Amino acid sequence: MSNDNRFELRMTGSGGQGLILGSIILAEAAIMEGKIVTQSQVYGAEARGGTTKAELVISNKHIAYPKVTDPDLLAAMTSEGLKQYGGGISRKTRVVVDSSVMSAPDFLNEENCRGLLALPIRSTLISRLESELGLNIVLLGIIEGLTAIVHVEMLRKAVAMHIKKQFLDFNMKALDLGMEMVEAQAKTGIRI
Amino acid sequence: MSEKMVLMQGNEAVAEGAIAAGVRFYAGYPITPSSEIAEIMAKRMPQVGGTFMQMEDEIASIMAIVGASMAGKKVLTATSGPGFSLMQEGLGYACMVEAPIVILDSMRYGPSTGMATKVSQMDLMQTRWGTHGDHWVIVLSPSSVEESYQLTIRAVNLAEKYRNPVIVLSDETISHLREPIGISIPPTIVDRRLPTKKAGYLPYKTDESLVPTVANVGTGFRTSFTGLVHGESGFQTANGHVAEALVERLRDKLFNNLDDIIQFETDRVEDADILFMSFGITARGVSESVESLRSHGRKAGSLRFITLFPFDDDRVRKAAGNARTIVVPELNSGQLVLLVKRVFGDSRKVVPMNKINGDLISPQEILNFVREENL
Repeated sequence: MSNDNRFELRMTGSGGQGLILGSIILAEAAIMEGKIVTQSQVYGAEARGGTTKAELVISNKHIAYPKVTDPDLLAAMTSEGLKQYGGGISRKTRVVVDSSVMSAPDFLNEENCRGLLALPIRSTLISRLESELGLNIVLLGIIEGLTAIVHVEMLRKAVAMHIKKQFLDFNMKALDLGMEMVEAQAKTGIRI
Repeated sequence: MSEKMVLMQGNEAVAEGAIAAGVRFYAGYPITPSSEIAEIMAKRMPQVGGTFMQMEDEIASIMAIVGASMAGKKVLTATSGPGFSLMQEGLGYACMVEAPIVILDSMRYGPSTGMATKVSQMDLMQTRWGTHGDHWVIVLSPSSVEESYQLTIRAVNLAEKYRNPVIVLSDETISHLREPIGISIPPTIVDRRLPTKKAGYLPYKTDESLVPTVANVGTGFRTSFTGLVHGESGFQTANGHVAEALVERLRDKLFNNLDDIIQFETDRVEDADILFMSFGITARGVSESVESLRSHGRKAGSLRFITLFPFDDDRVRKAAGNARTIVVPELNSGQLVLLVKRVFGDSRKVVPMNKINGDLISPQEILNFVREENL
């Protein structure tokens, strides 16, 4: 969180990846910690199957303007998402991209963002958990690993609020996988 | 925080607020960005012993809630600009028969079918002047999810108290926004007054409140109601004196109670030299701009209209302090600013700030505007 206690997250990808649900889960974890949130999304026909965007603002105090204006974290799960909603970043923005579906964008550098983390999210999910589903929860794990924006236990509780019992184990593994990926990346010494 | 906070979407807050206020009849025709209200009410009405009716269009929707209201139910319909246009006929009828109804209009980009998923504030004047003839409505404007809940309750209560249509004027952003709200405190509920004696009963006879005690249909009272000019009996007349008295009473039953109906939210108006006047979602960008201007030593303030109509010039003038410059940001080509200019004439510098591309006005845009216009 920045000095004014405002944390802004923007996630973009394609409809069906569950990014909106991901933002709602993180919002609920934050509320359980007594924080204030505003969650919004690109809405409408164009978002279904097409490019989608979910936004979340978390703060310790009242949030007046509810939309993301200067993201602390931008997570792009498709190159189209990055193209469409990757604008409006600044030197405070950390960018996460899924390197298994896109090459690292060459327009990002030290001048225009705080750092770029390219992780093979989708391919790791498939190889480790043998699933194409759960990308949004892996991403939540990555966001948590990077920011510790909420307590992990709160995040688990919020995931459990939205996931059916029979899929809960899998989703907890997905969450752990995301956090592991950040840890592993940190050990290789690549700065973000 | 003593209350348990839950994450809720704006549309969900409207539906739950209506239920908390006692709404047990919903008729509607789903339209973006209000559709979730119909979806939620379809599920929730049967759970609370109410009725949900999917109608064939918005004309039928408003007529259905007028009918249910005259039969004693607390009622709601929800729509957006294109559907609200169709409802205008029924809105005038509801004013005339004095049906307590609540309409939620979630503004999307207009005119016509416009852009279904984009925000605007283009229906402001439609709420006031959309239906023909001299008539008066109450229009409330939420700027958050929490306030969507609270103002829907207030709308139902005001509709019952004054036997008048109340419009909750929301927008695409607030409708789809999710925020934490606390709803564990049971709300204050207002019920319409009903007649007690059948002898000498006249449905539209009033006491000093000017609000009639019309019997609910089916309760044994002989009640007539019509959109035609009518006297105390409820039956049609073409008598000019009766017509004049009726239209005056429709106005005065609200205007005699402006202290009860009108609400503003003000922020540091007292010493402001630049004052922003806004409503709904736009006020949230304003709020951050005021903070930012203050932190740079500029005496900025804000007046947010919670009640948009009735619009009382004297109250606005008194609430506005002495700021020499008044900026009116809104997501249309200039509607609220017409009223603000009416209030202040040339006595202040009234500056419109308009955005009509389907996006919100951000705090930074307001700051840029103030700088570029040398305000």
